[in-house]
Amino acid sequence: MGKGGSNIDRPKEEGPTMSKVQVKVPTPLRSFTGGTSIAEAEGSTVGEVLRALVTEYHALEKHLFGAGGQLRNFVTVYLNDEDVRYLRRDATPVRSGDVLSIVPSIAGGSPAEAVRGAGRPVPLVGLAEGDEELGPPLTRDQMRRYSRHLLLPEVGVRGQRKLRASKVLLVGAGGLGAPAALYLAGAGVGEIGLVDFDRVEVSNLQRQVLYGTHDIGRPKLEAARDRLNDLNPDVVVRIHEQHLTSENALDILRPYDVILDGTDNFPTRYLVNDATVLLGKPNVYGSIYRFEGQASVFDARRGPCYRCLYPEPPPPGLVPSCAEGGVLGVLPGLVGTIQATETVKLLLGIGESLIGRLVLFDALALRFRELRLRKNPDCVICGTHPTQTGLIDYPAFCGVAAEDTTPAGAKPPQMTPEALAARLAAEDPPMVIDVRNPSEWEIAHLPGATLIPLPDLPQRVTELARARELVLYCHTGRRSAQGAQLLVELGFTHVSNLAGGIEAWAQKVDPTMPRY
Amino acid sequence: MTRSVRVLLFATAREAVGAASVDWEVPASGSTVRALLAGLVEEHPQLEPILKGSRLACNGVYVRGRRARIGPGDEIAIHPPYSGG
Ligand SMILES: [Zn+2]
Repeated sequence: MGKGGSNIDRPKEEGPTMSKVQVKVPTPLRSFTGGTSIAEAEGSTVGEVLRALVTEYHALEKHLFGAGGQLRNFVTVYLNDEDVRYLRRDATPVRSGDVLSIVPSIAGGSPAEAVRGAGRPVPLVGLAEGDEELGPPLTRDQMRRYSRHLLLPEVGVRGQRKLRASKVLLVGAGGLGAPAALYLAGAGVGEIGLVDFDRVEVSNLQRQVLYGTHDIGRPKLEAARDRLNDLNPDVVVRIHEQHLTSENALDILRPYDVILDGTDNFPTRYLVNDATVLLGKPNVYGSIYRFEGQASVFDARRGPCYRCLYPEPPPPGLVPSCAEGGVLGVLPGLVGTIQATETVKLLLGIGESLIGRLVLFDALALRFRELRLRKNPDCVICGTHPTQTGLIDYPAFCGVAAEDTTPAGAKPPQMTPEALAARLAAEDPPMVIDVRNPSEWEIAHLPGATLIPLPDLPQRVTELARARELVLYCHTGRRSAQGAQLLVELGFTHVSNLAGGIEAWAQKVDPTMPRY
Repeated sequence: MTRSVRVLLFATAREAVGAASVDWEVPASGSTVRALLAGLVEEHPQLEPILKGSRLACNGVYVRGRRARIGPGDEIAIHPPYSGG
C-alpha cells in the first residue's frame, strides 16, 4: 500500500497503523467462511483488510478479487455506512472498530445472489413448475381470448396457463390499482385480490379508469369486481374491504404470489413492504406525486426492499397528503401499467425485472431515469441482522390523525363555519386568510379573504396586524392549523382556524360554492 | 471547463427550490455531499426538512452516507419520498 495513512487525519504515529476491523459477510458468501457472518481482519486500508480476510478464507478470494488483484466491480463494500467507491476505494483508510460490509450487488435478480435463503434457488413466485400446477388445458374460448399472448413465444400456451394459475393482490384500488387491475384481468391472471375501503367519488374519475360515472357513491371494490368480471369472466376477483393493519396484513397477503403496492399513504406502504419481506414475496411498487412517479420491484430474497430505499416514513405533514396535492390524471396510468408489466413478467418468469432498479418518471420532461438500488446490509427488516420481526402500525398521515401531532396547550382555537359567517356579518369582522395554493383559490374562496399560501406565510407576517382578529382557512383545516400554530408561535394572540376548512363552509354556509 | 455539480431536484425538493435542477459551483479539488447540501440549505432554507428524509444519488447510484466526495461534472440527485397512489 505504501502511501496510505500519510496525509490523513489520525493520531501522530510512525507509518501506517494496523487496525482491527470487523467484516460483515453476506449470507451467500458464508459458505466460504465456514458459516461466519462477522470476521475480523487487520490492515490500514480497506484493500489491506480484505486481502487479510482472503488470506484466512482462501475460497473467498475469487469472489472478491479479479485476476489482476483488483476488487471485483460487482462487489460493493461499505465502510460503516459509506460506499467505499465514494471514499478512496481500496485505499480508504480504516480505524480500529470500523465495520466493513460486503454487499454482493444484484445482477438482474440472479437467484445465486439471494441474500435470505442462500443455497436454495428462490422461486420467482409461488408457482411450481409441474404441469399439474397449471390446471386444465386452455379452453377453446381461452385460446381465442388470449391469442395475442399465445403468439408470443415468451408467453405461449404454457405461459398463459401460468397466468391463469396465478394470484395477484392489489393494495389500493385508486389511480395505480385501477389501470393495473384492468390489464391484469385482461391478461388472464387467474385470481385478483383487491384491498380498499373507499367509495367512488366523482373526483376519482379523472384518473381511476376502473370506474364510471354510474359507480359514484358505490363501494370501490364492488364496482371494481363488476368491471373486471365484465372485462374477463375467467378472473376470480376477491375483495378485501378493509384497512390493512399489522393485525391482518400477513393473513391477507399470504395466499397471493405477487403483491402490487398501489396505496396512497406511507403507513400502508411500510406495512406492505414489511409483510412481503416477512412472507418472502415480490412487492411491485409504484408511487406518484403531481407529475412524477417511481416504480420498482422489491424482493428482499434477491434485492433491496422499500426500507433499504427509505428506512422510515417521513414525519407527518412533511409530504402533502392524499387529498391536498394535485396529480396529473394520466400519470398513475403510466406508473400503474409499469407495475402491471412487472407483475406479468414475474408471473411468467421472463425478461429482466426491476429488482434492484428504481425507475423515475417525469411527465413534464417526458423522461425516464433509472437508479441502481442496493440492499442495505443494515436494513432493519431485510438486512444481514434484521431487528424488526413483526409489523408496525404508523399513525395515519391523512385526515384528522395528523392534526393531533401539534403540541397540546398551544393549539389555536377552532371556529365553526357558522360562527365565522356570523362574525363576518357583524361589525369589526376578522381578517380572513386563505393559506391554500393559488390554483385552489381560483376554484373558490371566501368573500373578502386574503390569499397567503402557507409556504409564503413566514415571509408575509409583516402584512398582518397583531391587534386584529385573524381567521385562517384551507381546504379541510389541516394546513391552516399549521399556519395558525405558526402565527401563535410568532406572538399573534387573536388567531383561529376555520374548522373543516372551505369544504365545511361549502357544506354548512354556502351550498353554491364549488367543491373539489 | 465545468466547475460545477449538477443537482437534480425531485418532487417536494423541486418545489422547495422552484427548479428541477441547479448547477452548484464546487472547488476544482472537489467537495463532499455534506458540504454541498449545507450550501443549498443556506440558499433555500425550506429544503432542510425535506433533505432529512430524502435519498441521494450520485451519478445514478444511491449514496448512503453524506461523506461521499463529489467533484466538478458530477450529478447529485435528491429524491424525497412520496406515497401518492
Ligand atoms: Zn431492506
